[in-house]
Amino acid sequence: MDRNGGCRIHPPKSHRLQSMNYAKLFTCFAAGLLFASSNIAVAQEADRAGLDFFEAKIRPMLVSHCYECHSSGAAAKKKLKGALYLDSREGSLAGGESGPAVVPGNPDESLLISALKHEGFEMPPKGKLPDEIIGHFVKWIELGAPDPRDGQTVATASSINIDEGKEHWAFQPLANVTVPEAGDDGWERTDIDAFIRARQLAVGISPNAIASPRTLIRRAYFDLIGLPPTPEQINRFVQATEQDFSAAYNAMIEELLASEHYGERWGRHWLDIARFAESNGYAFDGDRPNAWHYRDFVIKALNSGIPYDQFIRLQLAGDLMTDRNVQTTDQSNTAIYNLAATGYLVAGPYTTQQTQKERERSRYEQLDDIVSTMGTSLLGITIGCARCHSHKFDPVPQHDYYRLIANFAEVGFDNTAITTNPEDFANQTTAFNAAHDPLLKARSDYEANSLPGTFDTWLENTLLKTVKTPLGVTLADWQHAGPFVAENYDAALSTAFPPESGVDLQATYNDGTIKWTPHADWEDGKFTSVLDETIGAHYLHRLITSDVEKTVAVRLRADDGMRIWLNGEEIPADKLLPDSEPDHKVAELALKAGENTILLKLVNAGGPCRFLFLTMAKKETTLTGVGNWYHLGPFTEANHDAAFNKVYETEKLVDLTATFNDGELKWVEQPDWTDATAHNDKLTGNNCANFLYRTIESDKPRHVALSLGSDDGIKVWVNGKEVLNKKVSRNDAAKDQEKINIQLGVGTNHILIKIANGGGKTGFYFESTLIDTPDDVKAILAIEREKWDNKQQNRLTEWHKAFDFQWLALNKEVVMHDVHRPSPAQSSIFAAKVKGTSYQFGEDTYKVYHLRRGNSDNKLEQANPGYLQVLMNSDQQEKQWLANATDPDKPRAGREAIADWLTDVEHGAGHLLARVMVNRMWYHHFGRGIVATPSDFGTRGELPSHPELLDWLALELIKNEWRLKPIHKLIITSAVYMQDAEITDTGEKLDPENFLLWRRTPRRLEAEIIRDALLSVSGTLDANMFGKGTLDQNQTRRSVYFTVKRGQLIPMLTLFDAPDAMQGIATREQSTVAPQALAMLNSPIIRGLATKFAARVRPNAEISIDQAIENAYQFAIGRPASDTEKTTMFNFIEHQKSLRADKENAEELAVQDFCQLILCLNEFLYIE
Amino acid sequence: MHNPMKNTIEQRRAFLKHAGLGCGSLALTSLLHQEGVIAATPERSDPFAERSSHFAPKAKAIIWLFQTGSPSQVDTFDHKPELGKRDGTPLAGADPKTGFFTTSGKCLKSPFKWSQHGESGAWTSEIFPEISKHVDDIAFVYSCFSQSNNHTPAMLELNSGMIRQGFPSMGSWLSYGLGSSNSNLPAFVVMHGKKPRGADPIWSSGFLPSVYQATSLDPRGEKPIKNLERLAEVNNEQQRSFLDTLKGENAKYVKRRPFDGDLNARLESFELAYRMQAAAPEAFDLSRESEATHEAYGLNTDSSKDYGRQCLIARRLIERGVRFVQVFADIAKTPGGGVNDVPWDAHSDVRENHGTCAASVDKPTGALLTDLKQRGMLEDTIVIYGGEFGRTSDSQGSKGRDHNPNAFTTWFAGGGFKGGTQYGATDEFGYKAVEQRVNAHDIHATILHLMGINHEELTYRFNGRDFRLTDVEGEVLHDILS
Repeated sequence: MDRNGGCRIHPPKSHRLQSMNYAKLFTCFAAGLLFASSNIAVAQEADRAGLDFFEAKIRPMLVSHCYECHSSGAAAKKKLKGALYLDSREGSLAGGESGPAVVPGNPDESLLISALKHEGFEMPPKGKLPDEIIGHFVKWIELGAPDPRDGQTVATASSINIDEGKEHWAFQPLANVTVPEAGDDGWERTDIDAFIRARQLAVGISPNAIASPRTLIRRAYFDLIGLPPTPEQINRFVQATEQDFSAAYNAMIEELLASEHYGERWGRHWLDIARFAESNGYAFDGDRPNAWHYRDFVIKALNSGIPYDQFIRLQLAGDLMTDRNVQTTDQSNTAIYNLAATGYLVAGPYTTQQTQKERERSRYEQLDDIVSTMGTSLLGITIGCARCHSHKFDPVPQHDYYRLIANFAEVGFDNTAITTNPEDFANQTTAFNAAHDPLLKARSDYEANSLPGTFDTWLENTLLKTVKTPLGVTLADWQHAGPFVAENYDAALSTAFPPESGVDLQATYNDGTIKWTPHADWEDGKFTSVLDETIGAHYLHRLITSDVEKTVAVRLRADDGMRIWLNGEEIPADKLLPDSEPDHKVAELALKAGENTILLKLVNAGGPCRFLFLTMAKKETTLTGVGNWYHLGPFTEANHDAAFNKVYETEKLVDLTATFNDGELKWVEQPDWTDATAHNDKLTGNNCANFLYRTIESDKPRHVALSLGSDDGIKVWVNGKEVLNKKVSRNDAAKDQEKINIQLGVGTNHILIKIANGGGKTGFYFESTLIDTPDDVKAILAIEREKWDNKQQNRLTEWHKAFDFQWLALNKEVVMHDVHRPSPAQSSIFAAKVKGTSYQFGEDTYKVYHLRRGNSDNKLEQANPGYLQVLMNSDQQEKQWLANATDPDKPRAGREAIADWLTDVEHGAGHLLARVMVNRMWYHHFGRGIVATPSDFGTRGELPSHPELLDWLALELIKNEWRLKPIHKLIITSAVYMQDAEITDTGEKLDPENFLLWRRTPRRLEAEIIRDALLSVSGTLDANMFGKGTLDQNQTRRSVYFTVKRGQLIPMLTLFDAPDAMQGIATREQSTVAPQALAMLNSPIIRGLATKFAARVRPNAEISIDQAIENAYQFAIGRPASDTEKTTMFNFIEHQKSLRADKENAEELAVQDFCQLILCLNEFLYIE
Repeated sequence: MHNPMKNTIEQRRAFLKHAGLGCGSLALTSLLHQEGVIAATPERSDPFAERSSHFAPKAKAIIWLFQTGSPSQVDTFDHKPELGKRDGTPLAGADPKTGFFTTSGKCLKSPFKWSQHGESGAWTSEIFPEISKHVDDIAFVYSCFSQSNNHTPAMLELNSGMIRQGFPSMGSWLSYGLGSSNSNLPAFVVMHGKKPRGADPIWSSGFLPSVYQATSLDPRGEKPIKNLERLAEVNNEQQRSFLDTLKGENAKYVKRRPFDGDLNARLESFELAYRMQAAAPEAFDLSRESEATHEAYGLNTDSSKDYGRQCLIARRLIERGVRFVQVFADIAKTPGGGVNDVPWDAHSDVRENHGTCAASVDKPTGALLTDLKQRGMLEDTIVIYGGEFGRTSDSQGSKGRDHNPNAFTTWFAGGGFKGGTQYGATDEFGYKAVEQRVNAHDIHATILHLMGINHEELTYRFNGRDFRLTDVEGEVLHDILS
């Protein structure tokens, strides 16, 4: 709690006086009683009181009444008067044209005061301030005019004096304190008590005696594990204390520290500090489904008794220490644990909807979140302030800030998958390989022994014959005549120039300017230029001789237009067939035996005039031997994905006689399902798979283009080889949704199609077109085999495989078995990752620059990793930790070294780290820290109430190798912890605030623990630990297992002050508000628990009401009901029953009312 | 024996901090006096009685009509004839990356007709016939700007001064600073239909104690406040007897522990809860309003009934002592780019979008002003109207406007604002605020000022730093205050 109260609005007069009295009182109290041994602390306290006075009384007045004319702001607006700056300490001291405005300690000489009093100057000009306020100024100057304003507004920009900064108590080394002598009343049980008692003795306060065993066990249970003891546990403990109190108490504490619930309880404290959440926050609050690993890490780590230095080392750099390639479960667990620890770094909010302009600024905010959290959680220092300016109160220069965030420059986040049971995976892999290897071997044997032979045979006997069959025609050279000029293209096309009436190679045209010229250099199959740009026509003529009557095809292309005549007969344009190449046409030439003439007319529209001509075997146009479709399905699955991904028997082997789903499904021939038609009405079923199967007989290797359509996903196998696999969602099947080319071998080819459907209708489309051998294959075939390079050889070998049925069969065995290849069980962890996800803005994304005023548009030089100077006591500065022992030229990564710096008691921040941690523990055990601001040990934080005890505990932590459980035990076995809550006259008189811990202050349970206790006493608590959480308020696991979604916090927890996880918090507020009461009265969840509680205290009507009352008290508050309570509650139950006289179950409801009432008792919610 | 009534500052502070309704603490304690639960001792009563503000407030209550999604300044209140003249021509100095998408860089004239109103002659576009009748009660600030060009951060800024999450909203700061002026209802109520983009963190209490959190509710629902309805198996008489017995037992416990302030608060919190069960439904029960009022607020018209309902409930809550009601415009089915959680977001068609949105909010807003005035409540009730940023003067697509953080209009009425004033100015195209620029900090400083709080003195220490609503900025807009 803040010294000045949670509420810092400055109180009006009467309250102010009290505040001042209180401040004074505290100062005296602190100086005189608490800090007698710490002069520095006293001096600091006085300074701080002065600064607080300045902040409370002086600064606001300066701002409202003086800055308008006496500040750098005024200067900027050219409104500065008298060259006087009152917005900085330096300016006030230096004064303006008339001399120093403020003379510390001497109000009479301070011009500011005379001006305010309207003696000489009359300030402010608008009217004299009230005397009371002028009195404040006088008092302030008398106090020495304490003024924290660092003067950045005037020329004398101050720099922080680090050496002075180190004088602050928290930055000092740990004092090697001696334990004070014990008092003579035998109250002390441990060294801690000696420290506590010494302070009490100095003021004459007597502490309370040890509380009753019942109180102690309840206190210890809630404190250490956050659950109430059962009546059996209480009885056992009470009996044991009668034998040997200390032994019984120690045994109970040991048991609790060893309990796995300890981590759940204390882990939650740490999660508060670490702003743990499982969503991004901001507009869309995206989930981080794998972020719960961090929560589990914290619980496991604390349960394991991990040393605190190791605990933070993992959180800051666990990802850098992780070998992701795990071979054993132990390694896997370690990897998950180490990675999960860095959830600490990346737990902060992250906005996913970003405009380009916001990204860089957001990145610096992300880094600020990391170091601010680190600063407050580990060191109790507010670092974030130094982002825009050097810290106003603590010695953190802006320079240090950017060096500190530079350690985290490359930190992004990611979900990293780790194999969870590598041994199991290894075993499965071995078993799989044992079955798989023979299949692979069969295939590779075939490829080694048989395939070369079949390839040769195929190449010689099939392929070359198909592709390179001699046409049996000879072609004479081209003869060319032209150009015949025309007015335009159309005229050129339609005008029958002389050659069209009959070719005479001797003839000349156009007055002899055009004559037939031979062109031996015009190669077939190449694009040949006729080298003329005239608009008009060219005629090309050649002889083609065939030994027999046959039809051949020619491939034609011209730049513009073309006509063709065979033996004087024109082949009309509409008889020209389309070719696979764009703009090419295919003409079929029915040759007679002997000589034939070809006449080509090239029509040019201007520009280059080129043409292509190639004779080919007559093109096959239709695919024959195609069988009917067979259909099988639908096979219904959970969803589209399942249907698509599942490997069905049919995929392995099509057996048209087989039946499926207990005979429900079988293959049905569908002769009417025609090709090149969209079938959107034939298949049925939602979340299902349908299969289509057909055979195609082929007498030679063929290439077929398929146009396919599907609604929704589609897979296609040809001869057992998967040729298409596409998971899509569509509304209809249609032509050309998918286009693939397939190869058919000699014999029976098998086509299998799987259509998977999500919802709605389902359908398919199938159309096949024969196509030519691919050009690249033809190009290879045109080369002599001996000259093929490896690539060409491989291309043909691979290409051939799809025609080789034996190879296809062997390959199918491999592929089908491969489906069973084991995949490792993996766990995905949301953790830090070097250069992982972050805001991207180019090359500076993972770099840190010093920024002027924290503005990313105003970059200075790049920042190198470093640490806070005030926490470095080494000549080497940061090199002390960054130096690399093995390679001096290469410093260690800042993030690796940071934990060494943090835990280095001698040279680094270790002393502060230890102080902050033991203080947190003290805070949770007592409800107030030795330093009452657990996340602020800076100059603005509270001073320690027991500084020597704090240092002693910190040293104990270090001595115990940073293990926390021994410190818990030290604290919990102390008399100061064990004493009762009684209020004594002396205590009340001398120390009503209980600063000196003469009594135990009762505390309300935290939100999670209230709920856990409700679950526990109602007998519904599910003790399962770890794993993914839930947002369901009705779940019955401990509250720490709720998913923490920033935009959807659990209402019942926030109602009782659970944090919002935006920033780390050290101390939870404890509010008491009507909505809590409304929930306790009216929430069906609470009533449900009360009902279960009722069933537990009175499982049947045989149990008397008296007994039920007794049971309820025992379960819920761990003590017998008093006679008065029994009477009150009995009457209450009777009364509630009578109010429900009309109801059969009136008594049951009345007992439920009673049980709900017990859960509303203060004694249930407050622990003494 | 110790004196159970003796208390120290520490206890009193603990008590004040812990007491209350999720709505600050002062009223509760005074209530406890009234009911004799705690003795009226000078130490206890005086501090908070005087602590209500730094100086005499001009306003007691605030209704902030938040126009989620951001209306275009140049199509609502910031009249720019030059923009109309240069329709389709390049906008000088336009940055097409000003908004969330990319804009054309070409001027888009307002599709609406403009006219002047009242003695002050303020310009408004034709889509606000009702609001236009009140211009002489309104102070227009044309020169608002925000940091972010993105809805959520900008809404955070308007509400908490910061573009990051985790900082307390103005409503929470007010509750923290002033406590509550009523005993049966929360001090800070947020009303929304679909929650605006960014949802609850927009009105978060941040690091302030959660007692100062908003009570957020969807007034379209049947149960706007959680757990307000008694359990089916418990009637009033049974609950009363339950509470009497509980009070007896808890009081015995408190008697043994007089130091612990929140125990007393807890005792009373059950009684408050009991009373709230009756008071809250009454406040939300619009059947208690006349048919004429229903008609005036647009409750009989589909397009305006949801927002009208919010406005009318806002007035009823203010009447019953709620200090701050924030209404996030509930406009369903907005065309032209807007969606439920950001209705004014006219990316694709400003005419369609703003026409629809205005049809929904104009009549109820006008009715609210009239109603407050008639009841004499406008004098000490501030009404704020505006969005999280403005829109571009150049077009997005052909008819839409993108986000524009550089200029927007917010207007204020009542509660110490000088009606009929016009403050600040944008350039001749309404593209950027150029004169007397005003940011969220200035708005917050001004509102706090009218509520009697010096914004520089309202601080809260968190993680080692004294935080303010206005961070290190904020200037009170004295020129538009009466």
